[in-house]
Amino acid sequence: MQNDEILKAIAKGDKEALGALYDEFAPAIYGLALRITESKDRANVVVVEVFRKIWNRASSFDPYRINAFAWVMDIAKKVAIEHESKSEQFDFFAFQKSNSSGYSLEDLFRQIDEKHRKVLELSFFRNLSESQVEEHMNIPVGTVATRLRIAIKAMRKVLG
Amino acid sequence: MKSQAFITSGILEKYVLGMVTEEEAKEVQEMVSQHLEIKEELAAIRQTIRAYILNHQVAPEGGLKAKVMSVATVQTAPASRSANAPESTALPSYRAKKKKGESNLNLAGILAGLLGLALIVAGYMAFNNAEKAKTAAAKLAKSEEQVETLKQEKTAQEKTEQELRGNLGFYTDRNNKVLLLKGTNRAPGTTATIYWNDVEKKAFADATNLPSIAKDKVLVLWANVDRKAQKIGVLKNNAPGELSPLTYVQTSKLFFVTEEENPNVERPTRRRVLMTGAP
Repeated sequence: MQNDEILKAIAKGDKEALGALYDEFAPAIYGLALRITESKDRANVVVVEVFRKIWNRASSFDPYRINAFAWVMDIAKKVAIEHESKSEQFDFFAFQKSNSSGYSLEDLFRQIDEKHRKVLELSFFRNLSESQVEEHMNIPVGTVATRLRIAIKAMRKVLG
Repeated sequence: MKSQAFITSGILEKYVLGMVTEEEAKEVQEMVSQHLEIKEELAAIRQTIRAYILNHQVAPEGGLKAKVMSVATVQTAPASRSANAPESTALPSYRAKKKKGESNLNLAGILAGLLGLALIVAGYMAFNNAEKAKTAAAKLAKSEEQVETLKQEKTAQEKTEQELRGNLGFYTDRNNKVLLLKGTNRAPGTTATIYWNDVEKKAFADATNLPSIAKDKVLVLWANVDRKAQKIGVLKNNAPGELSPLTYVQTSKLFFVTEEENPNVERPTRRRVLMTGAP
């Protein structure tokens, strides 16, 4: 079943479809939540909350407007930001390394310039606005868009 | 040129990350509808962000799925709710209606409270039983899956054993003739062994040291029969103990291997002869 069809089935109250969606998206949602909340417990809460929202809102999903992945991740990001941590102690890369099958993001992102990567992380994981990113990084107005573009371009290259 | 400048401005990246104003978002949507290259660029950025998220994915703890599924169990199915109904945010509560002027501690209130409590207990028991049944069903499904996997592994092992026994019989057959193919100066040091049996009219190849060729090329084995090249098989490196069946030919004064682009080739490309052997 395609993700669009899974969401349609959930909108009709199909519990198995919710399970299928969990299997498909839970690792991505959990990873995103972990990165934003920097806590396993909070990430667990986020995942449950995200699926509760999906269960309740699936009927509002419009495949002509947005794809299923983007729709789900948009919910996930908003919920995770509500549970966001301000802590600087959590080492996501180390955690991911110990919980994945050997793939290391550290190696991947080492190839992207720190000043460009930081802009992407602040805007994506911290949900900061353009001016907030500028202020946080103490960079000139208008630099964010350029740095974002360079970071994403570098990622495109690295991710193939 | 206008679209290129639009792309390089970085606004598409900001759009995907939700960092644009409503006005800017409209502008992006308009440009996307008018310029194919912008549409493609936007799709590529979205794809990158998707990959970015997927590269951050981490397997959640095992018990989390049960918690998520309980969301669907304890909450009203969305289809059975009115479209305008507010989103449920907690477990359903049982509230007794409060009548004007009545005491909160009247008998009806107590009964309603008891009834509510009974409903909660009954609901909890039903939920608990449903969860237990679901866990048992999941365990059963997993066991069945494991049994099926073991069955498949057993069948594969039996097949391999059968093949090895067949090969062993062939190796020990006294009617077998053996021929060693050696690499030409185009593939020095390479070897393959051809077995053929005139009694059983069967032929096999045992190759573990073939010439290296490009992935899209094949090694074709030919037998020279009545001065004509007859294709008798395609060679590949065999696993230890594995034999590749060939087309049997009764008499041949020369065997040779050519590198070909197509396994269905009818004539050998003679300038690409990589191995030869004669009885």
